[in-house]
Amino acid sequence: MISLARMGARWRAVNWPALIFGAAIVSLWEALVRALAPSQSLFPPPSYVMWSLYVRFDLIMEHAWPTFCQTLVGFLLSVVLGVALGWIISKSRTLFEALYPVVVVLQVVPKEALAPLLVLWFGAGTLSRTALAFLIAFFPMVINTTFGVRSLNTAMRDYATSLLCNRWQFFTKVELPWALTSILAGMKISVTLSVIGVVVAEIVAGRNGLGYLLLFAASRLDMGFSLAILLVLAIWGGALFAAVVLLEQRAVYWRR
Amino acid sequence: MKPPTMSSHSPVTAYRHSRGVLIPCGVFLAIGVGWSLAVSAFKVPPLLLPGPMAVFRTIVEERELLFQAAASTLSEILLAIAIAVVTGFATAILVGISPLVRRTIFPYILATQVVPKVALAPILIAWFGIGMESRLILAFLISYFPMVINTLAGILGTSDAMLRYAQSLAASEWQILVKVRLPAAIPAILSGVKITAGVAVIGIVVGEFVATDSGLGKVIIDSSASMDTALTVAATLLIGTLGLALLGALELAERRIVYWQSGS
Repeated sequence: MISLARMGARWRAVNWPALIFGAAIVSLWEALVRALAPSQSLFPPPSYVMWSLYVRFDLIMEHAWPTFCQTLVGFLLSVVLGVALGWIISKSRTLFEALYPVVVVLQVVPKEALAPLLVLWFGAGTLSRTALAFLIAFFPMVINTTFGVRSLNTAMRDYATSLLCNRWQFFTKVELPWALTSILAGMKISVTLSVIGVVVAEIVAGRNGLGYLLLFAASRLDMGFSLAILLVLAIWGGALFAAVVLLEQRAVYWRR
Repeated sequence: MKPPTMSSHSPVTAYRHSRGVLIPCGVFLAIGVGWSLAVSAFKVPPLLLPGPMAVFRTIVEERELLFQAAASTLSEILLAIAIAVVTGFATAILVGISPLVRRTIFPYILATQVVPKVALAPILIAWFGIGMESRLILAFLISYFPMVINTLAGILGTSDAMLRYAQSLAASEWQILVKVRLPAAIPAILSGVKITAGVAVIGIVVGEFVATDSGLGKVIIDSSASMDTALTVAATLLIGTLGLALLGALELAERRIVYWQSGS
């Protein structure tokens, strides 16, 4: 997949054709819906979506807070535990051969399907949502960490040994910086996945959260409200992704 | 060093990584035995988690229901993959030909990647009703963009030397696309197909959770509502198997098609 890090760089140089295209699409949507749609509630123009966002802002924020916290906790857990497991796996040949295939198989399995079982086990609250976010985001972290640590080439290792590196120096000055690129690439995958995990769990069961609110709004056919919630989710997903990209630019500054 | 993507790690690769399949098989067996022992040792109520034998018995007893549901889910998944692959490929060709079109819409295509598109499920159901259309549209929206991005990356990633060589032979733009860019893009396109397939499964299953009128997702929701946990676990395991089998099959097909890359 193309590097999404370039997205940030793309946005900095103002892309006029894209801006004009976006504005044209939004105006066309507004004009068509106003002219043709029988119901503004069912087929809302962009102005109605923004108006819904403004009117219901307090309600949306009340439900956004748990969603934001759960995605963050799920994501951070997946990073900490995923990097730890990935590191342990890649240090031992036996563990690698035993566990890596298992991790890869679990990576491919659609874990979103676990949502109803998690709700059954942990209740329709914070725990089941955080657990699903963690489960979905965890395996890419393990795989990317393992890949990063194991891709350290022998020349580098020999060079470090020839400089009489001790274990700690080898870890902090060679191995960690080397694996960081791959770990951060994994974080970019995991951060979007953790949002998906929480939203799926909220849609399946719940009493609060943006996914629940979205289900509620859509069941009342208030599509302006629904799309406003979707917009907040999109902004949250984008903000988390941007945060990881910023971290990447700081942490692996030598790769720019 | 290329940044690793999720697609480069798949069941068959895992098999190739380990010298034998024995150890991972042993680990899965140990998980099964541990599950069974834990359930009987801690007297976990079957409402919460039935043992593996109870789940197996349910699979045998409810085989007709599960088979029908799995067939419905699988056919929708395959249909969604087919639509996303064809339209995604076509879009990437169109976007790839014109730099202006690329500059205009590619930022939006990239931006869709950070939007949790599963949240569209309730919206699509309000618009298109509880049924296959909503699920197909959801799975399509989730799986279309990775296909476009991967195909485009493949087409545009052709080496300069190859392009200059083709130009020196007076190849037309069309010939360059068909004879140079597309063959060089095959590995990227195939890994796009694998990502597309993986997320299409998620789209259909989440769609079935919300629009519960058919498929394994409906079985899961219905059985968990009636506290028939053995059936819930059975259907969840079936979805996992389905996803695994699909990706495994694609991986095998990929190895046949891009045999010259089998060392990667």
